[in-house]
Amino acid sequence: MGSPCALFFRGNNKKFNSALAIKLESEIKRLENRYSRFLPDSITTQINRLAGTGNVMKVDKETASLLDYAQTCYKQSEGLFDITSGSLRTLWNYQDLSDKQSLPDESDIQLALEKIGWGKVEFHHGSICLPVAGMEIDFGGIVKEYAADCVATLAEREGCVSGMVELGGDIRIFGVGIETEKMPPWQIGIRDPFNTGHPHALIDLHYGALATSGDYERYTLIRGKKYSHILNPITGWPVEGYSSVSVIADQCVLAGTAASLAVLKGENGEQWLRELGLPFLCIDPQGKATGTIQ
Amino acid sequence: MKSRSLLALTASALALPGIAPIARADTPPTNTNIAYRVSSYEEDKLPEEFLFAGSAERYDITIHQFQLVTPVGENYGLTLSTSVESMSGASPWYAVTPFDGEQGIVMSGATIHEKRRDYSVGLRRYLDNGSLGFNVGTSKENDYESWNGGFDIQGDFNNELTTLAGGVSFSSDDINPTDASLYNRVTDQSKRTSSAFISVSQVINQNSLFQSSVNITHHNGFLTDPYKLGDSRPESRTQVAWSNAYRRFISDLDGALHLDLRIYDDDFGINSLTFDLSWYQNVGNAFQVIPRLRYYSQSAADFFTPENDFSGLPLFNSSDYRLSAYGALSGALQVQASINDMTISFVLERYLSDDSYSFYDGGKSPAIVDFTRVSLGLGYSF
Repeated sequence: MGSPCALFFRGNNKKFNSALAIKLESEIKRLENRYSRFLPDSITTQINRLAGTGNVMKVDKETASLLDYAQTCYKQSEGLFDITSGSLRTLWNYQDLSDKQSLPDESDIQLALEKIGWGKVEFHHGSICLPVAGMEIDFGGIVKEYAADCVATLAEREGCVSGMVELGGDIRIFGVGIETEKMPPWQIGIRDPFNTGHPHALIDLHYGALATSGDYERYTLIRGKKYSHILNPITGWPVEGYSSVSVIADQCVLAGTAASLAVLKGENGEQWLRELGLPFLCIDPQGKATGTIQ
Repeated sequence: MKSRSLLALTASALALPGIAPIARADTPPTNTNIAYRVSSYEEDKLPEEFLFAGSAERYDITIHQFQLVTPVGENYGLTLSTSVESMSGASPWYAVTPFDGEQGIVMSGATIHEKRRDYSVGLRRYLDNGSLGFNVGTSKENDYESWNGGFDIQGDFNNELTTLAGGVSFSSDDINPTDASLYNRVTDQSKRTSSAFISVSQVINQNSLFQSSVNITHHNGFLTDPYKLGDSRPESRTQVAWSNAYRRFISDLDGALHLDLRIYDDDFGINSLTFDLSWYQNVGNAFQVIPRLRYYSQSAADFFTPENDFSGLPLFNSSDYRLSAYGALSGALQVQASINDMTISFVLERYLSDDSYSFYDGGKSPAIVDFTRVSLGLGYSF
């Protein structure tokens, strides 16, 4: 998944544990193989390869559901959450933290923006067509969290009593015994964006997911200023506002979307999260935390 | 009150296949599953005080069932089933009222040995939002042959929270009673049955589900029991049943409540009510214990008679206890275990019937039956 992954669960016996671990790992691998934009045979790559050719690709039910979800996110965020915003990324170099780069040209940004916009995508009844050459979709903002949920569903179906999966900082707690066997909660640290070695806060989570979005993990430095890896698909510029936003929800995909969207909304993010009603914690660039997570 | 955004995002997230809140049945099989079940059904003896003549021993039936379900390609599921039923014992022949005014039953001698074989093939095509199923089957006994076929369609709506289904089925039966000339029985009779159903099921929330269905069945042809003396029934029968099911998982107890209510009516004059209550208790990760209680009550058919009338005057007349007014209570305990790819299940059921259990009035029969059923099933998935 291109980021650190961890899986913990309380199993029944050695044989059950090793069989379940293999199943859960292969589920993550399955989703990576299907949706990674870096793999030449993935569904994402196949869709992207047809961009601008006029060809329509019929996708399977799971992919169609993910595209449906992306479409809902796009509509609910009024265009801020956009899985076609990937081509902006090429204008910003997140590998180089030496502060020797310059800002991208505004004309390059405008050129990139022409290849962006879910509104331009033709997606009907499980068939997708990217109309502009060079247009790309990227499930990066969804599939990692979805994979955590899939792992949880699969583990519960197999009868796993209690467990936790972390995929690149997003956490999902699961297990069939969580309520019945009075399992202790999992203690989860919310990362401090300014001191990655220490948690900003520790919370007890019995069930559900905690997802965090922010610029502390991936950013670039230009003329002494930190630029987030989260890009506004309407302006083409990195978002400014929170250093990190964490959200708790039953599903990791929901927590992840809410956190990303709040970051994308910049200073309006907190108000939007309050209206959404999910527990959250926003940390601003000065290290000040606000939110409903205690 | 949840925000509209949250509702929209949640609904869309729950539609993702990896996050299904309740496992649904309408996905194609991914494994091949073979299952075998053997059941023994044993009717209690007819109480001596009601036995007027013949054998008090009633039916013992042993049933072997075998089923294979396998995926065919990505979108089809194939089901092959077969069963063999061996039956022996005696059955009520006719009812009399001797001089003391008490009802009595004349049983057949304990000479009945029957074997029935069933075969059926079903194919289901799974679509994005539903499925289509076809099946054909046949059933054979030495005095009886039946062919049947059916088609059903089901569709998921409302983010798969609502499922609508409907279907039709037909069967054609040929009946050729044994020892026809010896007992002056009919020969070469037939009947046709057609049936249709519609159902709706609704996921109420993550832990509960409600289903309601209506089934209409029409029989036409020879509906009389040729082995009962003086039995004569109408040549047409229409049955309507309305079934309701409620399922609720209670996570604090790690178990699920199953409630079923069925209301039935037909133009023989029989009304009935069935109430089923089961509790599915998970025990650890591998075991499930299921206690079950069932109550059944029916009214008598219009032409049911506690004593056969051989005058030839009544057009229709039957002393078959299944057409009398009675009620039944049954209790069952099922224990099942899933260990790796194997499942094993054991069921013990005791069924007691009595005319006093029924809340309907009408003709009563002393021949109503009590029985014990024991069943063992094995399944293997690969």
